[in-house]
Amino acid sequence: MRTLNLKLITPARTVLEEEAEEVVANTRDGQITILAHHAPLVSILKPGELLIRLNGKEKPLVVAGGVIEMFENTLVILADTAEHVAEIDLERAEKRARELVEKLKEKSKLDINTYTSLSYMLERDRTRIEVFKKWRK
Amino acid sequence: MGANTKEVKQRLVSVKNTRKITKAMELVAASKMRKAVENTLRTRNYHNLAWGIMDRILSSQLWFNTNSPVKRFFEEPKEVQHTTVIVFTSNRGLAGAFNSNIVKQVIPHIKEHGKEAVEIITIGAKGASMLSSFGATIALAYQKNDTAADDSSIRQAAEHVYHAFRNKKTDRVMVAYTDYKNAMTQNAVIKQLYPFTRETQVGIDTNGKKHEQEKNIEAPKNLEYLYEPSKYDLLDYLALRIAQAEVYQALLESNASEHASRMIAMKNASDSARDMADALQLEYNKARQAAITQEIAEISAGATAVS
Repeated sequence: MRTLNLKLITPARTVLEEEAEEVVANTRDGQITILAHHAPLVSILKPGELLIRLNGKEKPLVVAGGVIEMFENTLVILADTAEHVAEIDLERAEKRARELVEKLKEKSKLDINTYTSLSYMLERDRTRIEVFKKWRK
Repeated sequence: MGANTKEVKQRLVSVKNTRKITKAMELVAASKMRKAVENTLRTRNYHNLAWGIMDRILSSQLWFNTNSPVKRFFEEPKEVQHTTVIVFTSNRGLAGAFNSNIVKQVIPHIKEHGKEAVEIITIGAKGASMLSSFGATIALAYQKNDTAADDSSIRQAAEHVYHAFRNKKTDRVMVAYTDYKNAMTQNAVIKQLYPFTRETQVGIDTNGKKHEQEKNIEAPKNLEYLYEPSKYDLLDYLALRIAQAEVYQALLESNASEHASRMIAMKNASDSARDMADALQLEYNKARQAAITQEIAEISAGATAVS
């Protein structure tokens, strides 16, 4: 199978730089699958699962929003955070999600910026939990 | 032994203790600096790629025949009424001229436009106190995360300027930070963030020497991207992301510079303490010897008087 070059990068580190046959990502408009030599494409990534396939193996990751660009057979994914499913700490994510729900309940006390950033963090942790449960059965 | 020896001894001990503290602070600053420099290098990749994508979108098509609010991010304003400056300083002192150098960059800017027209966002406690005593308008004040390993501590500030700029509350956004060249040299600089300019890219200085940039692939003129959802949404999204990346980069550069200048300041303090301790040791020895000589003189004088 033909492959594409994948670069998965967050502000803190370069998470992956490798070849892939197929990448499945969740964009704002829905799920897309990108194969080698896909037409140039730019899209906004939603928090969710990112699946990389190579030689019949699947590598699931969780990403929290970002931009995805396909250009000259190189797929660049700029994510806010990205981690392998094996790296997820379920207990921590659940605890944090519970705390965030509590904080968000006191809506009237929060200004709009804090509110959006908290709900963004909550969405991120919920995605982590969801993807973790899907792959760790 | 006279009172003089005792006094000198006390001072000697206290100078030596001070030197232990400054030496420890020097070592701590050195290790923090190394980490900050590492982080700066790791972020550069994200930063370059984000710019690359935006460049390619912008060059692939003419698109400015629109009233989209996103347009604002890419055009020089006709009239500048309000400016926002994000100022990076340290939380604590004992870092040499680190903070005053940054403030020196910001103050002419405030004077030029007037105190009311310039809104300041400080990251780091020192900047807030120094600039408010000057009389500047401080809109937001954050503590600086000295050992930042991700961008969570500056995300709010970046979002704030993005919304303010998009909603036309400010016409220009600048970032004042300290550019890290090496352990000996750091430069306080002030750079424009919004609207985007060619020189915006934080971390690349004017002679372009320091950070060799990976050359981004130029887009062919007829390149047609598939945009999802639309290119305005994408540019809008990137405008925020790039601001976050820039501000984060500025934070890391400032951290590296802060620790470097604290390291140098503490090294100088340790060296001075050593010189002072040497001088005091000499003085102590002299005083001790003088006391002994005097005692012998007294004893022998007494002996002569008896015989």
